Amino acid sequence: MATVTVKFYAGIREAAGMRSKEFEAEDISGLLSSLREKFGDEFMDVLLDEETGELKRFYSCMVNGKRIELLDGYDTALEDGDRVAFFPPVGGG
Amino acid sequence: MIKGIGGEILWVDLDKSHIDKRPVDDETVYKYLLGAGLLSKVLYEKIPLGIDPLSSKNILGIATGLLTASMFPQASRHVIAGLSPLTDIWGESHAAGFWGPELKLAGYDAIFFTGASSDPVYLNIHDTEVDLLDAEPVWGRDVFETDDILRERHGKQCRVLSIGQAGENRVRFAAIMNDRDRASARSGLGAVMGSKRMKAVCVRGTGRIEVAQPKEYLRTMDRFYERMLANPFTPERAKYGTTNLVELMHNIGRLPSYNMREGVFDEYEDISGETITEEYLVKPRADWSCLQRCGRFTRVKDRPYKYIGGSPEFESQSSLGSRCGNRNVESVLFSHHLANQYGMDTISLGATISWAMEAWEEGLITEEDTGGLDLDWGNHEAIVKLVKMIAFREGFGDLLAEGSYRAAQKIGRGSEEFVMAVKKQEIAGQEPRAQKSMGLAAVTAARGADHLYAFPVLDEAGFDDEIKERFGKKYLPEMADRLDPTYKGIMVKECEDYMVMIESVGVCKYGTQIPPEFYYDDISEALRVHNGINLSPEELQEIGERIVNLNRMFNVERGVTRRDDNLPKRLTDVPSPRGPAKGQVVELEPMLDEYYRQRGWDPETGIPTEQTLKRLGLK
Ligand code: SF4
Repeated sequence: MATVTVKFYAGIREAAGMRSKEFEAEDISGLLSSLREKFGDEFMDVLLDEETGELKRFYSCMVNGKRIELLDGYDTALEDGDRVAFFPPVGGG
Repeated sequence: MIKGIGGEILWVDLDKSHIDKRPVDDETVYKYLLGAGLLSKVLYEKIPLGIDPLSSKNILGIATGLLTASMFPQASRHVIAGLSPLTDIWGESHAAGFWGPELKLAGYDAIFFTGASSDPVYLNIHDTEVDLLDAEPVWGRDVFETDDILRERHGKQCRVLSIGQAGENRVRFAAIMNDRDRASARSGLGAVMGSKRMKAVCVRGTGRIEVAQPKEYLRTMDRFYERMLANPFTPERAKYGTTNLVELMHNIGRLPSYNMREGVFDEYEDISGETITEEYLVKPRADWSCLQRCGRFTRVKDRPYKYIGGSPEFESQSSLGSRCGNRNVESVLFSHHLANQYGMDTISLGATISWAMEAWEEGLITEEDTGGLDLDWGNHEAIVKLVKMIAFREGFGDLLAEGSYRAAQKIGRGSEEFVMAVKKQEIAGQEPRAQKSMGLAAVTAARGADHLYAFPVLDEAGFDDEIKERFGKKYLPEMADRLDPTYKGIMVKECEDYMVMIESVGVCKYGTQIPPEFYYDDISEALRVHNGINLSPEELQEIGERIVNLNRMFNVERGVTRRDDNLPKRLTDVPSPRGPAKGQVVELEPMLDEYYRQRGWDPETGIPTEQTLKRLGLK
């Protein structure tokens, strides 16, 4: 198990009721389970698509600034000190 | 007969105080559309070589697009162009709001200003009545006062476009403002307007726009509205505008800090979208037919930075905040407000101040230069003071009003090394070592450093499906990876063609590029039902390509070659020191090679080949 800092932004932060928290998890799937345990189903409804069980369209999860789609997706292994961020749709310049 | 347009173009000869109305030429529309395309064609032909951009020989053009004032989501745009006094090459800038739609409702698709007036004037348009009037009551006034005075005089329903004191004083990054706080900011075209002693264009349009196929138009627009509303970006954009890009950019290492030395800002939460939304937001605001509502209306309640007005957006948070090492959010908001009031581009403003701050840190600029002003990173009082000093060209502000490139040339002492500009224009709030496509886009953009000419955001935060649709599966995952330079030449070329086409139809980049809800096929359909124009997606793409090549030729004729398509050494040679992009540099040369190949430009010189120009009907 790795200890990672998870940061929540915008509507996800509102649903979590906090900006960031440390979690222990092996990979992103494991982290999502821990999030469900901690914050409950309502929080997960903000984050995940009901049908696919994966992140909603345009929602992103990043590990140290890299989108998990460019890593190993939900199997992306976590290491101690990793920073995981969850974002709702945001982008531009 | 083309529908959905005003139908006439105004030619205002300021030397002779003469106004001419000419019809829109259909053939030009089929080759260049309106908006950016029309301006590109006319100004390429008419602006002489070898002139001073601030002389009466320069021509300033303003145009709306084919869909401006329609019900297409976010059809709120107008474009302004001319020879830029900041870059000495193609200058172009865009803004949303209500002014553009109002101009079209008055019956005009474009205005060209030639010559220069001996006394300050403004143009007043009330449908068919168009007059050049004495600007004495508004000359010397700021943007908000000008708006108040002209609407008091000509009616509250008028829409005003104007320069502030910065434009009058020919600050090289002066903006042209409309609807009080909407800015055509980049390229310094406000200084061109000031040099012509043209203070404002006040418009009232009560006409109607005839639509080509009314029933189908309503059905199509209804469908487009549904799509836009259902897009997951829509509620988020309305809630945060672009302000919470600070959070995203810090997390991906793309938030310029300390004059772009780094791409993260430890105090980012202080200037974040969440802080602004929670503590300062009065309400979101939308432009014409906009469902995205990225505009903000904010208030700081207490002195010294008390104000109420429209601001901010991400670029200003980054340029006046992190880029200057400034964590004082109220000063960021207030200096943005002041920049709107005096009419200046916040990107070049903050970037020029941050250049001075780094030169100060290095001991290259001293109190002797600044007149006693302390330029330590994050000195928010100095930043706020400088905004006014620059607009009025007071003391050290007079030097900074020239932009960082010219200021560094003047100061010398090695300060040139800290200029973060391409072709003399300051790079916007995209640290390109953390997103390679942005580095390439900054060097290929026609108006000098620019993120919007291509606006390559498809690799920013997860548009893999759109990349698959637009380019094909074989480009994944490389094209979607911000840090991988592979295929970025292909992506930037495609995005440029699309974005200049979008600026020629007058709709916002939000909705067409991010989120990428609408694409060529939708624009093609909208032009058919709204304007009665049949142009296929492929033809629209070719028009985009034609405009990009014409803009390039405008610059080539003024000496631009591959040598100028370059980034500051800091970004290509010095690895990013920390954060998610740690160790990264911009691998510019291979991306440029790929880009020129895609464009059909000579890879040695960066000049379009004869064959390319012929293919696009430019020879
Ligand atoms: S998204 Fe923003 S800039 Fe675009 S039309 Fe809407 S309010 Fe204006």
